[in-house]
Amino acid sequence: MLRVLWLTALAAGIAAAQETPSKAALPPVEGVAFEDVPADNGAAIQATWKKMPNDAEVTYRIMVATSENGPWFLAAETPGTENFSQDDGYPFWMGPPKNRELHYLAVDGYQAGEERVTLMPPEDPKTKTRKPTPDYWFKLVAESPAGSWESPATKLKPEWNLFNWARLNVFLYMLAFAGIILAFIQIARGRQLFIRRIAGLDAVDEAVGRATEMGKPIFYLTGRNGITDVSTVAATLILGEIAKKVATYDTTIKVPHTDPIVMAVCQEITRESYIAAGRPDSFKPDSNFFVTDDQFGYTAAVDGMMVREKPAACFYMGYYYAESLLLAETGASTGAIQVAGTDADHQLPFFVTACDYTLIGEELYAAGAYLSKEPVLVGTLRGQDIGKAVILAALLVLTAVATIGQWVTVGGKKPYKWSEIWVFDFLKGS
Amino acid sequence: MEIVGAWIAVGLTLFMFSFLYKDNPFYKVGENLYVGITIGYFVIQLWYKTWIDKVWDVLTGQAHDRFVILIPVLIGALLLTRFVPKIAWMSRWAFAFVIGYGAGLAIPATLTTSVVIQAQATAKPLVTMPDRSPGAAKATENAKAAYDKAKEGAAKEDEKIRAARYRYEQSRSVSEYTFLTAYRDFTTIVIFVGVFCVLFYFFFSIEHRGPVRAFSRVGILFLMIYFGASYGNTVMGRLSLLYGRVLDLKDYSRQMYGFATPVILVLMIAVLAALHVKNKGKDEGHAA
Repeated sequence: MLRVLWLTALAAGIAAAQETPSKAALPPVEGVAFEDVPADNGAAIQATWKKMPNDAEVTYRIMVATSENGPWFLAAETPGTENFSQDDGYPFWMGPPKNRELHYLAVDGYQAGEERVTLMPPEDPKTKTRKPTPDYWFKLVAESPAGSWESPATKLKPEWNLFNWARLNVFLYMLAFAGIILAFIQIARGRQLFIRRIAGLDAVDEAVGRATEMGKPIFYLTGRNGITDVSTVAATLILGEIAKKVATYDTTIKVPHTDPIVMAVCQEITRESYIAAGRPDSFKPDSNFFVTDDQFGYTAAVDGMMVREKPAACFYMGYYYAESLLLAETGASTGAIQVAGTDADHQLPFFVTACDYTLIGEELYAAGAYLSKEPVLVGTLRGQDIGKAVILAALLVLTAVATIGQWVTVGGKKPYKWSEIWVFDFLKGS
Repeated sequence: MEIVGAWIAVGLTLFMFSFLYKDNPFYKVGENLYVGITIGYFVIQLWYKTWIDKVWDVLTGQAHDRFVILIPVLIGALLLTRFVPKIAWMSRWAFAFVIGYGAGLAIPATLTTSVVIQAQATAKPLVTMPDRSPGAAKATENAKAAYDKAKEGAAKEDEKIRAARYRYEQSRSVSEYTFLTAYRDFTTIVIFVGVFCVLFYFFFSIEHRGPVRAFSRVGILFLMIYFGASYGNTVMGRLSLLYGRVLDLKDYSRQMYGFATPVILVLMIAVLAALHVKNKGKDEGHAA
């Protein structure tokens, strides 16, 4: 009887040991939490747990399974001395508290044998559909030479979010700048606001007059980018103003395009300009025409047209790439007055070299307001200037604070890293 | 086949280069071929990559929300109303949508990359004081030890020694005020002054007179230095492209390609000379 009891006790002990072979060997890890990653597309979850005294010897593993009973797969692992919440990549207003007391790991997939499986099922290229994300079970396993410990399984499904709160600072900047601009548009409607002289734009009248006298066309290029590019939008605004002058003087304008949408927009703008100038009958829809969307095909064609038609003036507004010098140099060889305006900083040197006048960077955006004196555009320009003044002031203050921080002692630290204060963090965002 | 390819490559290259002489029939052939081929390619790309991939395959797929694709298709189709003058105004809805979403995408991205990140990178201490903390001293000590070890252990592995020395110098420049610290401070000051003055140049609401003019002049000086450096850098890149073409022309001069380069070049020169003589005769006839 005693033997039976002894054997039963032995078997129960072995079974218990097999179930939890070394649970007692490591102290339980505290504060283990699995959560959906906030402000993402539903691709990942995050795990946090407290720093433990024996972290130097411990390796932590995040295990994942599609059912509570497994099989369990390795999703991520980290030595106990790495991956803390202060490096989680979130700005200070998001995510767990930023310190080195809390471990942090984000998981977006796991290794199943040779295959890497993502938590968010991939899109089927044929049906263009994605299976619904299943429920997952996660657990944290701590292992060291002394033994191991594992957390209870947690059921969790990654969810997508509509707002990326990590970009909150950008949203607030946008609201602030929009508010300033709207206020100045209102002011510009009441009184005339000053705009400094921009030499390149004073040459527009000269160029249109020259084309009229010579009876030769004006070439106007809107750049290589699509209508969603800010510089292309600026180029279309300037086209509207130049087309008004062209219509008034009854000169010819030719606008070769590389983007069909931009061409359609420019056709509308040119038509409006002719109507505004009181010459709707002179408008030719063919003045805006599509060449090709290929960079150098377009360049070769426009170069050929320039050489054959010898335009009186060439305008290069918008965003350009390697074709800038090829176009501007050919235009210069025909003897045309050339005015360029671009925010493509790598191409500006070529325009500065080959053109008579060049609008540098933001001057391109200011050009529409300068030429039209429209209250909306002038107010926007003044609003942008106020925005720049705010940025300048912020730069001055923050640089002064950062520099002074090198000489003073704060909280026993000298030099104190002022770049770690929240203002910098807010500026930086995620 | 390889010879045919070589002759086409050489011919088209020389046709395009002939523009350096002046506009001529060879260039016109090259130009029209180029435009025609690229438009053909563009249409095929649009058909397969946009219509088939993004519309047809989706509509004929099994996704329960596949008909949502008809909304952008309808917006795109509104552009075609431009061909019917009476309803051409409907195309403006499509433009409004395109420009609206373009601005929506561009504004946050521009604010982040051109304002937030730039401002954050500019606002740094103009003068750096050495970090006298034990942690910084220890880091320098460790880096020095690693550098010494690299020098001993891998005398011939220059790369490893250089990397270890770099880490040591970087570490030392934090715990002590070294030449590297001074250089870093100088760079920070130059960047700060540059950003400050260039921003002044782009103020449009104030007359550039007095101190504002002085700041904006310094700003334009910074811009011109940048333009000069950028110009030189790009020209070097373009020259390497030219080398590539010239090397191809040289390769195709060999017998195995049927002396493609010299033959085409001589033929082109002969035709251009004949055209020149013919046009000269015409011009003289007109003048007489």
